[in-house]
Amino acid sequence: MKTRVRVDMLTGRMVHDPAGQRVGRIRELVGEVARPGSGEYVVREFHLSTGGLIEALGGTQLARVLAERFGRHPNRIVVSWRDLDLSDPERPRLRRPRAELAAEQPRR
Amino acid sequence: MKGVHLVHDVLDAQLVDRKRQKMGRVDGLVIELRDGEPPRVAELLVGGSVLAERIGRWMVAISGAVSRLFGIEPEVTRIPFEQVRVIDSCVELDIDASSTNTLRSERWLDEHIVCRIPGGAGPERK
Amino acid sequence: MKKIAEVALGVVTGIGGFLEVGSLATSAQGGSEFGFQLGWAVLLGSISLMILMEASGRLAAVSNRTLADQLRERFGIRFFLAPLVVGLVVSLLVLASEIGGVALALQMATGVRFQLWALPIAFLAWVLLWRGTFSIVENGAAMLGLVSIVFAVGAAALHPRWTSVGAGLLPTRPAHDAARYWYLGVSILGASISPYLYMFYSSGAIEDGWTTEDLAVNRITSVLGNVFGGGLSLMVLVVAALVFLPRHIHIDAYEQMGLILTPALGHPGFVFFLATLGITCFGTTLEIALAIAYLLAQGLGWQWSENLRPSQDSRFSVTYTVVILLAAIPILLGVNVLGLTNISMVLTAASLPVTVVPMVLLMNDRDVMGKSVNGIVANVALIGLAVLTCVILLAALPLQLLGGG
Repeated sequence: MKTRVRVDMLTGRMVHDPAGQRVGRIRELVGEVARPGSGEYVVREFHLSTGGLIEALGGTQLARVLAERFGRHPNRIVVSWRDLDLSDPERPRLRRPRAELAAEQPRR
Repeated sequence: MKGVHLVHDVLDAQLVDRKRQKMGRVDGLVIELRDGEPPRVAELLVGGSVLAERIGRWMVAISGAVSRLFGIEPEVTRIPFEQVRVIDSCVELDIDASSTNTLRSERWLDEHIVCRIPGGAGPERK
Repeated sequence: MKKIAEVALGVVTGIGGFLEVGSLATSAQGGSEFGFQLGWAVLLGSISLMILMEASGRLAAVSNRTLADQLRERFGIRFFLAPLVVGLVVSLLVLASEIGGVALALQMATGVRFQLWALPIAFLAWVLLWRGTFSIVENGAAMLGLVSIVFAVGAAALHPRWTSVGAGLLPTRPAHDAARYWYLGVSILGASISPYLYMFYSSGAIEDGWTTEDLAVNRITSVLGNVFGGGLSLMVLVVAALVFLPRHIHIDAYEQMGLILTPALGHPGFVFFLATLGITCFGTTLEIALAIAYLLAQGLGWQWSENLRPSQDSRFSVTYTVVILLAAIPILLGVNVLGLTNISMVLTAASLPVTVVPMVLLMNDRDVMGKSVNGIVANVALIGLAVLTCVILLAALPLQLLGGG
């Protein structure tokens, strides 16, 4: 039984790690072709944001764009599709501890 | 490898068909979770009820009441993601709008109201 | 050569389009109660509109999408509800006032009560939109609107102390009734800086197929159009100051404004006033009806264009039809047009942040604007304006209560 998830309802949801710690909110999904030539797209990674100011402003899209404009680049956390458990779309869970993920983030 | 940013570039984008006819916006997007494989980008959703869900429960209640009032069944159009040809300033589909239900209200208004008024229909450009 | 013609047309549109029921009423009230002292509000309003029109025109030319398109695409449906609902409600109120303006002009011309004119005016406006094209609507209204130049003639004929007029262009403390003074100041700002104006302008840029090659035309048109248009609005204020203030005439109704040009131009002055009122309000009726339909159609992704047959964009055409009908209802019912105008002007001013603040973000977004993002000067102007609109929003309710009517 394949679970279908609404991307538009997923954005903004807070992701927690196995220890219950907050990791960040889902802001973007990046897709790519499954195989060259096939028309099928799959989700390669999720981008989470952890900007403190943004959360304080209610985490709305407008708040986020406003904060970004004023130089507060929210920390973007890139999460591979393997590491995100969406079986309960309302409570997305990271499959690994937050610290492990943070260490792997691409250097800015 | 360049990726498609589903939220920034696809969600809420203008949808156009093969003939560049506007057919609504991408109101919703569905991915399909699979064991051991990356989630598949399944389909685009178009429809007022889809928007209502995004806005909130109160909006769903209101639009439900309005639909019942007018006796219309809210319809959701599902477009398989494979039919997306280009994602640029709008999302171009490889289909004809007429093969979907997105223009249902447009057609209805056209038949029942617009074409009944002189000057409504006629050759392409004014 | 073609560019020059385009600029000329754009400027004419600015002139002919600036005056409408709101600017006529607020400038006249301002002049009759505070002389030249509220001139700064007209100046500030024109400059602000210049900034917003140039920005929304540039946005459309560069991104090939209108402001409404971008508000939905960049910020999502939940945010978009705010400018959508606010825009719909406020624009409908202004539209009703415009229809009222035409109706009153006809009442003063023919003696037939203004309520009876509501439906005929609505019908004529609708026919023009149904059968006409974008150019016909825009240019026709602009050309006819040039009749408002009579106010410049009238002002000159009254020989004002132009240095005093100039002094009024800087804000000063009112000698009396501060609440009323600031209330009128905000109303004048609301009359000049109306969201439907710059949203209509960005849709017009798409209707006219503007590209990055038209950025200079866009800039010149927005600046010159509003310099002349704002200038005309200032002339209304000047004439009102010279005609009504000395006679201590407090304007409570449009009928009192009827004699505004008579001292300067004699009996023809009355006819010219009626022509200006009727024509400019009618042109604006067409514009606002389209602007509302554009907002809804673009936000929801419908097919839209005034250049298509109604049958090809039925939801869009039915929208402007319904909108004109709805707006005619208050006039049909005999609502006080001046009262309605005053309230809609303040509401318009208060509604500005919901479009102006997002514009600050859009104009700085490289994904949207590419190389044409705002430079420092443009940002200082736009952000300053955004702050001003937020201040106005906070002040609007207190001012309406303390200084309204």
